[in-house]
Amino acid sequence: MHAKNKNDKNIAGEIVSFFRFSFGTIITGQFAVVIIPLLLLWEVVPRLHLFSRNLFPTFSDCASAFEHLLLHSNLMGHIGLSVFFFLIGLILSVITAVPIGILLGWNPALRKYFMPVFQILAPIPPTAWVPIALIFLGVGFPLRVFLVYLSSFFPIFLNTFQAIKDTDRRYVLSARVFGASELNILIHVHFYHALGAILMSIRTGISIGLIMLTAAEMYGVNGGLGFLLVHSKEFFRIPDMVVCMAVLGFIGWFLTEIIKYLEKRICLWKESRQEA
Amino acid sequence: MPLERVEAGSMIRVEGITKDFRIADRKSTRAVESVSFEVRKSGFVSLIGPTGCGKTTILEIIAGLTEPTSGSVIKNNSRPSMAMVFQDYAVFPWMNALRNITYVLSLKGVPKSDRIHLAMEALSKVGLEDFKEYFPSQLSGGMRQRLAIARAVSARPQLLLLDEPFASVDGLTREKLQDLILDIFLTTGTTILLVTHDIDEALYLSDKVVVFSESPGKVVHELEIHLDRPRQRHCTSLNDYKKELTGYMQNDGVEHALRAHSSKLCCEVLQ
Repeated sequence: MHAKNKNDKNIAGEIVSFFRFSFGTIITGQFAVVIIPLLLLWEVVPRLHLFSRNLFPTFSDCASAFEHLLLHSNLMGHIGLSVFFFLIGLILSVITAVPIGILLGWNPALRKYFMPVFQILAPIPPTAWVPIALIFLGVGFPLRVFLVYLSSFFPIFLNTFQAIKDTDRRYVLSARVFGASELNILIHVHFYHALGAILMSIRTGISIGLIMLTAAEMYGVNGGLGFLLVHSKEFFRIPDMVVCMAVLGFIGWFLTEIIKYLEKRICLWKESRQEA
Repeated sequence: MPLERVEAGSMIRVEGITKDFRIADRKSTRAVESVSFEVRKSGFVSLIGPTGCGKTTILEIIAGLTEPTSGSVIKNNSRPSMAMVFQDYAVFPWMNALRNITYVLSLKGVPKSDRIHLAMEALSKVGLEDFKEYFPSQLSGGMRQRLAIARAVSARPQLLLLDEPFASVDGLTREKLQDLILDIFLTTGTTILLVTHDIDEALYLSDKVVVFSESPGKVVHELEIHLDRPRQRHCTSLNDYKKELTGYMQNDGVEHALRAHSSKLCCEVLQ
């Protein structure tokens, strides 16, 4: 009971420190000095009637569109759908790309057999997969998951592969002199040596995955932020489109911050000496 | 009979080792050529020579990290326990000081319950007991190398291989580290093989100095140093040894080797 309580406290503390870590870099006096004039400019310029206000909405137009979408158009539902399928695709690609990357980076024999397969597939732009995926998977949810998976797989796989392969020889040799088995070296040397790069590659995977999620959602599904974006376009609601773009940006930023926070918490050794 | 006694007192014997390297498609280059020397049990031997003479290659062959093209390393014990300290602190950056040592102890099969105790002992031997939680990036260069030494000696190896371990620290730290190694040598009786390009260091520490010539690396001379420890740095008797060694290193090593070879041939002819 006592232990559980302590655990709960730890999780709460972790969440608080995550928010401090992520939003802390945005909510600062210095940034306010930059962002407030920019927002004011955005508010004032469309009111000068240089363009039609329909084409160039003000900040407050977008804010009220956000409120409207939230209250009357199930914005949270669209966000939930997008995030849900995005995370499925991303998690699938992490749990496949990282182990395959580690194996091929570690074992030269396996590398010779299988690496060319990935080298041939990797340069194909993920968007080029859309037509064929449409035929095989239709316009439903599998398409989104597949495209997110496919697009985030290669950056994660290739970077993991490279980081494992490039493990500093000195570390491998010193473990070997002490009598470590190759498997032991993989776990205690290669993996930790590559961990930073692996987390970094997941961040790349997130940004490319989001691109493909948006693209996938523009094809005939009726839910998700990409759908809402296209739907707003059809009704010429520019403020709604701006809201969708901002939300997508926020999701990408937020997920990236989570990975950055993980890196800070796991890779403790990267925090170098600090002045007392 | 005398031959056997030599055998029993020997830790490792390097016999006629040659190693060729091939980089990409270029024709292979010879790093070391028919190198032979012996390291006695509880002895301190230094390999000295200019950079690129293949000293490190010899050390890696002894450690079993690479195979020689020809020749062999004869070990007294079939697998003496070895530890190695590298030039640029190859302590693991992702493990703190204590974990670096307990990891090595786990590789040596030390039971879990003894690891922390032994690791702390090793840390205090090098004066790092207050830094056990620190990661290598949070330590200074000298401290990192002390950690590498602590890690190497923690498992009580029979043979300690040192690959220019003091090359990247400042002079004062270097002298302190040399005294640390000497202290470990004198108190534990570990056999030590040191690779260095610093004549003073070799003379201050070792029983025997093996001089290498450049590309391909060959043994030019072996010099036994009969002086009690601890030695005075820069004392007259060390200076005499230094003059002798410098002579061997400055003269063209190959010429020396050839002269030695031809005189040996002459002897054979005369006989």
